[in-house]
Amino acid sequence: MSKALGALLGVLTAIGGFIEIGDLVFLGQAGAQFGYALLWAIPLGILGIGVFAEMSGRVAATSGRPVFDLVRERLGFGVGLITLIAGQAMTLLTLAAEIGGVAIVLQLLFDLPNQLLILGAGVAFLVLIWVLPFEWIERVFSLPGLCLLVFVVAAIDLDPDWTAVGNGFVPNWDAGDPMLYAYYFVGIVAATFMPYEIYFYSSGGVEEGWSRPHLRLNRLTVVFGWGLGAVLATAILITAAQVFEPRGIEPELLGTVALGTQIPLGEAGLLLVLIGMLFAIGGATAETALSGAYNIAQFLGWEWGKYKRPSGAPRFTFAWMAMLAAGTLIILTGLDPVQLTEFAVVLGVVAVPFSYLPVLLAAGDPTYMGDQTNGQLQNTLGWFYFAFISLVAVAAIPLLIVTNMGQG
Amino acid sequence: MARYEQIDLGLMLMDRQLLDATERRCGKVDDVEIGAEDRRSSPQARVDALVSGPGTWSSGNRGPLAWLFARIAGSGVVRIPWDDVEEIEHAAIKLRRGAPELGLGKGDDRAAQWLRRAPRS
Repeated sequence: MSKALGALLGVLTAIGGFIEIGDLVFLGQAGAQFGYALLWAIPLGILGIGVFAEMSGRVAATSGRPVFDLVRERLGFGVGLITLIAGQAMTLLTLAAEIGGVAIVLQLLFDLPNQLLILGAGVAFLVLIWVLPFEWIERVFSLPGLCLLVFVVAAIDLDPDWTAVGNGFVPNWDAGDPMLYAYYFVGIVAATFMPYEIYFYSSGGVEEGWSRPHLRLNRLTVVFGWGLGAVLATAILITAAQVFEPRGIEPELLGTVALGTQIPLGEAGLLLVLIGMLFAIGGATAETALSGAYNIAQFLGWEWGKYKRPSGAPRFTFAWMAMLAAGTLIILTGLDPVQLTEFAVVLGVVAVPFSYLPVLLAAGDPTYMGDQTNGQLQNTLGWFYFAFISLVAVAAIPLLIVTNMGQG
Repeated sequence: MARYEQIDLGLMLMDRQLLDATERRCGKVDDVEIGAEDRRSSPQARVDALVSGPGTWSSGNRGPLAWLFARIAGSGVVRIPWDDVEEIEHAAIKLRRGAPELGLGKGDDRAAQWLRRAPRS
């Protein structure tokens, strides 16, 4: 495969894999409740996750070290173990929510019993992850996930007031209940900062044998892939603001978020968005299951990697299988995937600073990074976002309680 | 034996990934055994061995969670003489011998026996 095609595929994969159930839930609800007033949270969150991802990718390409390898080394066994357990718990809850999300979309498409679809999805992911090599897991899910770009068409077709949209990129705390506004701000930022995304991105860099020549691909993926992912996130929020806010609808079901495209684009729009959701959430399911296995294997020093046959990294293989089985069982108990998503996203951000800090320290250490050590801009942005995400993490749980998970 | 005049134990050895002679990941450095070099004029510390395994997790100041984790994971400990250290690499510590010979990676070996029965394993 030519380098250009490889880079294009990498970028398209990043766009298609950018949105998952957490983004759909929070962007849909924020648009329905506050119109465009929370648009500014999207670039703020995405620049932050971009800074974190770029550093993680650069550290992986330069020193061959993924996130939990650094967590253990920089924080030591004791604090690292707390970070691991918190990260695993949130990754597992996210995984359960993603499996539930896949089952909901399948139910909307095929009208079969939900419990049966959850079980079917669990088994299907077991087979797919077992059989597919790493790069195909990314492509099989992320490329059809690009169908979500229909939200961009819908947002433009709905002909919003572009001045009001522009004003949405300026913080406006008078837009409604300030606590609820803060909760959805934290939710949007936390959904873009889902920790598993970085665990997966950095481990994927090592899986694909990234070295110094891949540093440009790392930057391209972050800037274009995730930058265009931000456009998609913006379109989802604009669509929700245009369709749901004037009608007083709160999209508490995943299917309601999808309906936002049916009004401007008809059934074809709805079908495309459901296919996009199925594959985007499906991709996140595979990524969360694998992330759980990457984390524990890297922390304890087990052999790991999807580039190996299952028996070549046996405890790693059992770990992702166990994650998948546990996630399927959790959602089979009848928990609501949307509520579980909100819970996992908001609590998950609490674990982020502990995995962010080791990466930031390593990226700024010339003994690891040589000429790829953080420059002044990277360091400033890195420490700014560390402070920012720490504040968001501190505010997350009180806001979850005070707003009764956004119910007011 | 790999010779290093000066080693930062915290950053260069502790919690580092171990790679055996076939590049297989086979554990972490959980502890370091230090000996005294007998130079009467200026006594110096010397790394005698690396130690790996859950039996070390409850030692030191690692907190109650690590203690609990160690109770669950068991008491296995493997001592890797410094003579078996080939090189301290950027991402890992490379060993001269294979993991089975050193007694490392037993958990993966046991788990592999189960997986080999499955198709496309």
